[in-house]
Amino acid sequence: MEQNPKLAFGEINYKNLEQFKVITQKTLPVTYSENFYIKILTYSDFSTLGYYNDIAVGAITARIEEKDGRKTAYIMTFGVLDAYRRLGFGTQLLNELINRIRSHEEIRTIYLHMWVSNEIGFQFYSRHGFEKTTYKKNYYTDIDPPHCYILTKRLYPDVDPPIPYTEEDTEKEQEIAQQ
Amino acid sequence: MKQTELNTKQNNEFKSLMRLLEAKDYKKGLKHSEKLLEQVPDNQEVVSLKAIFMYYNEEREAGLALAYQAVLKNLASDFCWHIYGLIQKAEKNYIQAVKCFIQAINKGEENLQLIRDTANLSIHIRDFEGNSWLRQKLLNSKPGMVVNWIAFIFSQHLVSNYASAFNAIKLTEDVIKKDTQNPIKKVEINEFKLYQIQLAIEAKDFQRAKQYLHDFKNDITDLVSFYELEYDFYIKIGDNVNAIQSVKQLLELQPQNWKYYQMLQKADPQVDLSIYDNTLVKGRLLAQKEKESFQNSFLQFIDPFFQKSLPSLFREIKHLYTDPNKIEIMKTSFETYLNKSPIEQLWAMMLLSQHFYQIKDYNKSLEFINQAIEHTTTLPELYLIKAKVLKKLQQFKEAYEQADRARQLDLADRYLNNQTIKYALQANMIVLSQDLLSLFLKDGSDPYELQMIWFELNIGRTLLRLNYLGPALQQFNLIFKQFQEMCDDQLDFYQYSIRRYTLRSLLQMIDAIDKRYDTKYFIQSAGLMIEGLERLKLKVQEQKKLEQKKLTPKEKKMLAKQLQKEQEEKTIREQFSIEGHIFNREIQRKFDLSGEQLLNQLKTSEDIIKMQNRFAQVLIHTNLNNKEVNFQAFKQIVCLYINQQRPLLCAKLLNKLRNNETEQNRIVNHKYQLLLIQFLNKYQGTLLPYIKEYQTDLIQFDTQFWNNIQIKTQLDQTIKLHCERIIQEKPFEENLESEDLQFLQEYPQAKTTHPFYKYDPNIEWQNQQIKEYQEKQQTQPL
Repeated sequence: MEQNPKLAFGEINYKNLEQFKVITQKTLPVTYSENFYIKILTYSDFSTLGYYNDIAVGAITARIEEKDGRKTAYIMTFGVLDAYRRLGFGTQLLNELINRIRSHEEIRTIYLHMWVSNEIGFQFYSRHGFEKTTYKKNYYTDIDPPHCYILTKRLYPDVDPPIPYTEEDTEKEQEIAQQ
Repeated sequence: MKQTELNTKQNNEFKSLMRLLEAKDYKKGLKHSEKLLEQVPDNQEVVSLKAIFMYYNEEREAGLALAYQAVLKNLASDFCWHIYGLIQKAEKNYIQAVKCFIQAINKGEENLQLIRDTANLSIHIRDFEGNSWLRQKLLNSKPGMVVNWIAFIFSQHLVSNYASAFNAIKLTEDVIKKDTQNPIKKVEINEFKLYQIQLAIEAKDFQRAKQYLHDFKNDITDLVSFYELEYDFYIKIGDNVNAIQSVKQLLELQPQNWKYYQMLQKADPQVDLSIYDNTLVKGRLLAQKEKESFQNSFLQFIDPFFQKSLPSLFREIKHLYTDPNKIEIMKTSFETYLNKSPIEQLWAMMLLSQHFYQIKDYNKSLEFINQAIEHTTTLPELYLIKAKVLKKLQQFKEAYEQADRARQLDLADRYLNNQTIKYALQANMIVLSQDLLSLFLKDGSDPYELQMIWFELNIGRTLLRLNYLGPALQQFNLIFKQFQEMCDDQLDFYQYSIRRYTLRSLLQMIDAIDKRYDTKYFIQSAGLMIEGLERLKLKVQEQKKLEQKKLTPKEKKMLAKQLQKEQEEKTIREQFSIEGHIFNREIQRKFDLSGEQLLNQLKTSEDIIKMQNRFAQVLIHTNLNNKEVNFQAFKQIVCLYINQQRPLLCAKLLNKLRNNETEQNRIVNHKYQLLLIQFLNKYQGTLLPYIKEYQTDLIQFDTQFWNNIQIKTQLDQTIKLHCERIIQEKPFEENLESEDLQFLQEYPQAKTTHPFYKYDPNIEWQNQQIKEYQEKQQTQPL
């Protein structure tokens, strides 16, 4: 086995969207709508496919959001095909994303939703400087347990203050919204 | 007294008519010529002019007839002959055109342009004698022009008059030197010298060839061609030592060309190719190794492919599958990679799938490709392999779905798109295939203008399978026309090549065009055309029987009902627009995609047989080194020639069938041989001496054959039954073989008289596919 197989990056476009779709379906437990995939094409700045030997083996997609008047990057999907795990491809994809975000200094944090039972995922993210910032109950509707964490990475931890840990319940929020 | 001579004023008008002809102002020309004719109604030259103006004013046939009349009434007029020839040329009757032009030239036309055009036309119709005579004429009138000399040399070459050609070459060199205004270019010298060497070798003038090879070397920049000629020369004179030197030069220049290694082996049978350290040679040499030595070399050979991750490996080793001792070794070698890195696992699974496909274990092949897809879901090639396997398993719908997966993974890949089209047609989806094709066509273009023969052939095959005869036959008819056009397109090339000194390319081109029908696409479409016409013939005959019969009221009612049904079908067809709905009406009409015009020419059995013969005549002289393709086409003309009582052609056909026997077609092949021998045995006519050797004891021939055959499938059994029937001279019901039979199991209605879409059992699935496809297209962002 090669020591450090290197990943090449390529944009997600209409012509290869199906490859992204296949990777997402294979690696994430959530089912996305057809519309979601079409929308991905509009976020191409912070989305990329990872190619190993010219084969697409992973993908990461993110968009920029505004939260309390501050810009933050939100990772929408992130996955590497099973057979190509533990070769450092996830790290390479994440680093590629971080590099791209760093060129926009106004963006201070990256965050994502992670299913509570995803232990391996958590190990990976904490290795890369992510922290649990919110516990979100009843976030999912189609997997069990339906809860998730919000993991956040501060890109400039020496400058920016730490983020306090909170708890939320999606179901209750929705009830309130309905009332 | 009739007035035929023109006075001065009329003469001027005549000249202005000529100018109108040159300017292609045919409308005005026609009007003026008619006016002039009022004054001189019997001047045939004016009549000729009127004829050609008519011809170009949409009165083709009348113009042609009038020009012919004019020639008959004034046989001595070079002008009338010239005009008649021009019309024949426009009609693409090149043989007639050349005859007319030569009459015109003989009657005194001194028009050099005409002589040159006629000379080119005579190359086109392969009248090399005529060409030689005309080139001589041109040279005599303009000996200062280099191009006339080159054309003359080439004309002498074509009639094998080498001495005259070499003589002319010597003189040409002087003319070239004198022509300081157009100095010869370096590439032209290169070509001209190479040509001279080739000419000397061809003339078997080896003394001269040797001299040329020595003298010209420094003038030649195309070293590959030079050393090829040099090799050829040494082989011809039996000097293998020097031939080896030549081919070694070639290997230096192109080490990846296997042809040169074969040439080396021919010159030096003892040569050890293993000193050439490259993949090509290593791969080929594997075939000579056995057992352990093979296993070691094989592993060594494939490992770099795995490391560099080259999925093309299977192509390099496919040839090893002819040796049963190697198969197991190759399999185990692939298996060793199943536990290695992910990418090596992937290639191992893919190769194992291809391995089992190659040894026809399709279920195993499917298993491995499924694993590979599960492992690496994003690789289009895997889905294509799966489609290929499913096709072999007769699962046409599923095969299409897989090919379409591959296509969707990379929408920018034309190859994947084309493959999907082939699988869509296999599953009878004509409209969808047209839609897919249009994704990669520029707006306004269509596959018929572009002569996409692979597409026409596949569409035609599908239409024929659905017994949709008109459009099917038209597809094959178009292919036939396009092969003719290919040839006619060369007309401008002759003079061009001569001017550019590229005579060697011209020779190659002439050879390639003469062999244009020896191709898979032509042979396949000719076979299908004849088969389709056979079905049309049966239909026509049945209809005729029905018309001749006196009908009872009940039968009349039935007939009316049937007519109504046909009408309904026509409406459905128009809705489905199978005849090319994505192509606009203009294109449909232009290429007669509904086949209506074609069917109008095929109203009687005689018309149909005439058309069958047109294709059969070309087909029977073709030769391709793909026995299966040959056989499938040749079997279509067996009954045709038997019915026409053509003993010599039947004997030729019998030979062809024997030469194209394979493990796969053996049994069916036997049936057709039986039919031919039966006919030849009965023949008693004047040609008997020529076919005597083919007459055989039929029963003995048949028994002997079946004694050595193991009957494995239902199909074999059916064919055997057919053979028994043939010997008993009784008719047999179903004339189905191979793929037909499989097809009918899936499409039981297809061969009835109502063959269309709505009877296709897969129609729901097909509509679903079309719907999905269209929805996807709509979501495409701009």
